[in-house]
Amino acid sequence: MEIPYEVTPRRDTGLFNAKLGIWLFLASEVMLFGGLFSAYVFLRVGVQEGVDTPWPWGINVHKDFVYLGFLNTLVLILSSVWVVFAWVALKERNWRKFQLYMYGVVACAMIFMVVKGIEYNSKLNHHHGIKLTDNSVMEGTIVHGTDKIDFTGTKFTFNLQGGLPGFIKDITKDDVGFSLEGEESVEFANAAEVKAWFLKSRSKVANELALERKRYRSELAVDRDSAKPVSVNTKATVIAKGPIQMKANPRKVVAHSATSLSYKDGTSVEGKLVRDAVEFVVHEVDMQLVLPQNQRTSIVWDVIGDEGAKKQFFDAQKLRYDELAEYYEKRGKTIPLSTMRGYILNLHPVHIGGHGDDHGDGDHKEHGKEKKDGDHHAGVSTHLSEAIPTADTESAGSEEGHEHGGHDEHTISVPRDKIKFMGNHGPRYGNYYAIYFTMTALHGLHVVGGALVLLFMVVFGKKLYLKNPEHLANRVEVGGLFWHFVDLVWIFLFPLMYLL
Amino acid sequence: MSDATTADGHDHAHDEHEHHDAPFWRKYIFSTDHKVIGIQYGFTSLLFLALGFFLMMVMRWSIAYPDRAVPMLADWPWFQAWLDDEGKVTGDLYNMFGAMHGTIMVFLGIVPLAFGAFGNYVTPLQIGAPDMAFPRLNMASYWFFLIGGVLMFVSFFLPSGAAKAGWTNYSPLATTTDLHYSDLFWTGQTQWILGMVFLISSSLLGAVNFICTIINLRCKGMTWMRLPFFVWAMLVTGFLLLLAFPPLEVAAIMQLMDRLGGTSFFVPTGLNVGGMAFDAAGGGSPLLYQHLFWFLAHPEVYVLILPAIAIVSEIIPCNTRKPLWGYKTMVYAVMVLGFLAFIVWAHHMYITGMGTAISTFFQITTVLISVPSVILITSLLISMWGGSIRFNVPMLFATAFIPMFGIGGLTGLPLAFSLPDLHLHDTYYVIAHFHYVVAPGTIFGLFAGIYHWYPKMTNRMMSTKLGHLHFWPSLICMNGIFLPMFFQGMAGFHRRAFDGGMAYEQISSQLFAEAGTITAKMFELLHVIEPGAAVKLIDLNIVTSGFAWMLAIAQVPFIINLFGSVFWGKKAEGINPWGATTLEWSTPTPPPHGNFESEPVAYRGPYEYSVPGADSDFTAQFDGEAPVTDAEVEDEVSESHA
Repeated sequence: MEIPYEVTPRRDTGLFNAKLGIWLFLASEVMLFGGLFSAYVFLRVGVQEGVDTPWPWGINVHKDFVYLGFLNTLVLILSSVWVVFAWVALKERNWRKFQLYMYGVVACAMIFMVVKGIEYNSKLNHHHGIKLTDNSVMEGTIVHGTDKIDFTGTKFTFNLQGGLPGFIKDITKDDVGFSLEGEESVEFANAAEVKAWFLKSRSKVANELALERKRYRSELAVDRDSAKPVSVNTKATVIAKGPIQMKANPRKVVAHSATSLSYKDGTSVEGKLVRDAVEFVVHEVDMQLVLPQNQRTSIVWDVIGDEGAKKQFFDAQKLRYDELAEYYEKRGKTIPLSTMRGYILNLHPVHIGGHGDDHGDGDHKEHGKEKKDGDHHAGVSTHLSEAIPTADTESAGSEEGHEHGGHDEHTISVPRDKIKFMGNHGPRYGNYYAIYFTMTALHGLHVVGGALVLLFMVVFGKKLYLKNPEHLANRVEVGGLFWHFVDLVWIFLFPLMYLL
Repeated sequence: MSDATTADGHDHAHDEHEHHDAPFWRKYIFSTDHKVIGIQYGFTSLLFLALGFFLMMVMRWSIAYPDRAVPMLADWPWFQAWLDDEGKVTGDLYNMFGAMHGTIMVFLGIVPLAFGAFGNYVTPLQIGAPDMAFPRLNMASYWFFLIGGVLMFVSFFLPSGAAKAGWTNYSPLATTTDLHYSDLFWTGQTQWILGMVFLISSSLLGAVNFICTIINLRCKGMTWMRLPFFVWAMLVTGFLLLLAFPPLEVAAIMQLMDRLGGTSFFVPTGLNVGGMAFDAAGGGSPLLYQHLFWFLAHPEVYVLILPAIAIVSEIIPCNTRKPLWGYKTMVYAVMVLGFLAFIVWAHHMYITGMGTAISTFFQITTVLISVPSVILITSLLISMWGGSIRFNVPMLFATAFIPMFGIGGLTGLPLAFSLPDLHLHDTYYVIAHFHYVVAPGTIFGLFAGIYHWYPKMTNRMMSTKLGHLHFWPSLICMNGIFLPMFFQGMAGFHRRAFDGGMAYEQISSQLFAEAGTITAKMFELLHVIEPGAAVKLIDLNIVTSGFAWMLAIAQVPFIINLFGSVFWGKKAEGINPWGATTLEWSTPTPPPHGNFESEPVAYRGPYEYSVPGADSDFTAQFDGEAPVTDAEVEDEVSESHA
């Protein structure tokens, strides 16, 4: 049995099957990315200024990545051209040329992914932020591992129902061994044995509970009042033979004190809190979500504990404000209220990355609705950050802001109870990062998938080429159409993610 | 089975079984034959339909008897873990079963049965194609579907149970449910999303395949206006799936990121869960999820209904021995329907407060879409007018489909307007409305299809007696279930109350019938109410549930019939036992791999029944003046394109 129109186009539609198929597939891909682009617009337009996390958030987000993004754009465009050349080479029946261009395309895809990897690595491992309870934000780097709660546990109580108790994953050193409370003879050498015992006991408890309930129901049927209620012990406690070191994931912990730790899943741990502060190398302070009149009394200054830093922040802010006032005065306008909320300011000049908010200029136009600045006090200066870069930031611009290694680092201890939210510049950090990672990762998957298919065609295509070169040319054409689509998506992604 | 080459020489197609050297697993499990895949889809989806039905029966118990232990099931260890100590259904179980009933019925039951099974089996046969355009892709879509289904099924047995946030899986409820489990990946809510990603991918691949097949693989002479209406409906359904599903895939990916990656796509700023600030950056939009979801889920409604209309419009002309009335009008109507289906989605969201201007737009489009729907149904009705109807079992189901779908459609009109919708939203009225469309509507259409094409698949007829035993009780029970829900819904019964409305005394104690009336007497006879009492609306719960369980019993004859007739069924008379006109009846029965013995040619339109002057009361599409040369066919093709 042969399917017609696999190689030759059908007369009335003018298409061979795969070409029609790929166009349909691309239509659905357009809807897929269209959905994500719509989500981007919907979420970005819906941001309430001063309430929601601003897009993009932070100072080190952009500029050094713009060049990488631009490089990637060029690489993808080049590969799109080459894939057409490869198809032409097949039509000319020139296998060597075809091979050359196809490997070129695959190499471009690899370059693209490597550049992407560099970007991801930088965002995920070198940029962090902490939002304090009054919504002031510190940007910088969390000292590795200190975001976890450092605890030594001695007594672990957990449910024998539901999922695995949360503490098991958080144990970092478990060689002292455990024993079961009440039955000291039951011993476990390490956490893995506790886990195995949990799984066994969980099904035992489930069976016991089933029997108990059956008994209870039969007693109910006889006499409602004298029935003995169901009682099955569903809790277990494990005692460690020595202090067990743990690094508890704060996202799984519901409450903790100097002697105890309670997990969301009901597990409670007794022991000793070793350290409960996050070590943070602070680079910038962001006051966007704090009202101007509250900025001077913000708890961020207590946390940083450096009068010099505070003075520097407000001096710089004053400087910016003056420049802003001048800028608008020259044009005979008042400063738009929306720019008065305070942007991000660098704490130490030495750490200023010069990664100015590159949409600053656009902001003036966007928020161009002039409002009377009625309640502005000269003393509480607000500012506009990067629209008019100061000499300071210009000169420091060449330094790489996120390479903090050699600098005079301002490491501080941030008490956990003052933290509202913290994390790296990963998808959790805000919706800009969320959609950035989601869309670029999905696009990256398309790049990898497309490259694999094209690679397959060139590596294993010789046999088909000798048998039916037109068939191979069709396949390359279809693969090339997909590749063009992948390129096109990036052409939309680049301005959305890097420039706007 | 003998070796093909020795038994049949050059032409092995008319042998009863397909004779390839492919081993069993290649032929029946990882098969690329569209008919085998269609049957695989059929069986899997029937299993899931049964599972979805089972979930609903447990829910109906909770609604009817919230204060009594669940019978029979209470001792099963897995099941009792979700019941309370007295064996009563808990709210968690009700939520879980409610969410999974919807998901399973829509995504794992009806769509795969209607589009996957019937579409796969019938479409290539009707257009005279040897197979789908991409047979291996076809196999891939079945296996993606199965993986999605298995993930959904397995999620019941996870410590967290299956998804509990409704079949719509609205965020932020769905984002925050079961977050206390330390292994978030293996929670029902996460597995639901993953399962959906697989199901969506399966549907997308399937849709590409269907559209390609219909556009490119039509046989000689099969011009656009000679396509059976079934094929047209499949084409439109394919486009609906192709373009509507990706936004849901986006929503699923974003929700997955919200659960596992901690993002805030659908998590608003300042969200509190369980009295604590939710640990996320915030700034997301729950409304965005609803838009993305309903952008799929409304077209999905037409994915559910169009195949049923398609099946019925094959069966009605065949059994009335009359052409399909208004074939061209129906074709244009179904295309308009397909287009309008994309711009009505927000009528599910009137109460979100998205604004009167938007509501007005969607009210207008929603009312507009009823025009093509009514055209389709009216054409089917007129098709029966004046025919000498053969009321065989498929025709019974097809005939019942029309009023059932009609009730479902017309009761949708009040929901199309935002004002009555504010009152009716999330009540049993909505349940009754869409179940009338999907349960006695689509499912009856699908049953009709099974009875109709069974002889083509197996060469045997299904039993008429068992068919009647299946049809009449089903018809009565379906109405017994869904009719009372309209009354309850209009009174304000909320669909998510697991106690059936007991907690809302003021609503639930409204009168349905005064004491002493005939209705009240009947309820007394059934021991639903105390002697001499009036019938309250809440008493209808028991009647409804009773009909639901009887409906389950009514399916027993069907199951016996479906499996038993393979062995004991009457042999079909020839390859075309119904005297139908479309191309699938020209193949050997069951059709071999590759379908046709010789290249099929369509000589005329699909519904030429009772043509004046013809020899018999049907002139099949494939009956041509033999011998036909290729040149003549080519001429005909180019003529019709001129």
